[in-house]
Amino acid sequence: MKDMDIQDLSDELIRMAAQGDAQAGEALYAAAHGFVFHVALGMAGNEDDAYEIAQETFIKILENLDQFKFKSSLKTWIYRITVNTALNTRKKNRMLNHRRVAFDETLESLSESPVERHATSASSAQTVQLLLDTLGDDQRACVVLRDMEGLRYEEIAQILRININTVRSRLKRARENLLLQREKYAL
Amino acid sequence: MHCKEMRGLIMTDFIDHELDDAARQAVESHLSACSDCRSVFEASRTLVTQLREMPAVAAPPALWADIRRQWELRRADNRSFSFKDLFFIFHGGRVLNATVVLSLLACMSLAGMYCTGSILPASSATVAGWETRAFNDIPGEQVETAYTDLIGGKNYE
Ligand SMILES: [Zn+2]
Repeated sequence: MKDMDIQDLSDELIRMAAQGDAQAGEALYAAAHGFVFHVALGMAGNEDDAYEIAQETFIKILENLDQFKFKSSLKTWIYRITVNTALNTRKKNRMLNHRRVAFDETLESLSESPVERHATSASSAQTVQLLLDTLGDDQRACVVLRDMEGLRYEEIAQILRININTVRSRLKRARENLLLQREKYAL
Repeated sequence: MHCKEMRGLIMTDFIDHELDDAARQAVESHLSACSDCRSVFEASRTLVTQLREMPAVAAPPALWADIRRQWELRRADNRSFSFKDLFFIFHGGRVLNATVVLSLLACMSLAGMYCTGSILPASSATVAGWETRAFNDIPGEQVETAYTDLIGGKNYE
């Protein structure tokens, strides 16, 4: 089956997936896994957590598809579940509390020795992940949806169920923050 | 417009192409005259480009297989459970069965409430390591309830 864009999935196919039709479920997955995994990775900062988030997200989507009311767009609904699952996973991990420390240590070691940093060569992707990890969850969600996913402010507001001006102010503060961090650690 | 307000626009709507023509032109003419704001613009643009150009990592091929397995397992679980079955544990009368089952349910829900702290003071719930609100996440809902604590509900600004 050719991968379709999420907007092109028919209501009929969504209903079939909701009833447990494996082919319909797979078509839904094929249309959505790209952006779900991308957002999961942006929110988590590493592939292992992103995998876990994406997996949990799709289980929730498939199990709750029968409650999808076709009032909002399926894409918005899926984005929302992805972001919420990612936020919950981050909360859980923070309670277990070691990842944050690990990132801080990496940042410290990067700033300590520019020579060694060059040797280990933090790739541009790693740099971005380190930067993102200095943001609070709500700012990070806005940056991921805007800068990685390229969504409009209006769409972000719908996904996060916040006012569009809140999207603006979070983005502004996030970017100020990122610019500061970039300067501080010469990333 | 002052530089401070200008910068707010530059770092958000302007680089994100959310401005209408008139507002965009106003920012552009300010930028051509103000080097401080121009450097803010350059820095923001570089940052945004860096974020945008993050290489896309494809989801590992095993992901769908994992999801499908779990999805099927859960569907099988749901099918094999019937609430009616509960009322035929004993061969006695319906009333006996109903009484036993209902008191079991009552015990279970009391135990549940105890564990999640809803019949205990909040402090003891926290001490016991339970945090009921933090993990509320019911993805099917499209009305305002369970998510609002998580994002955008309150106290975030
Ligand atoms: Zn200026």
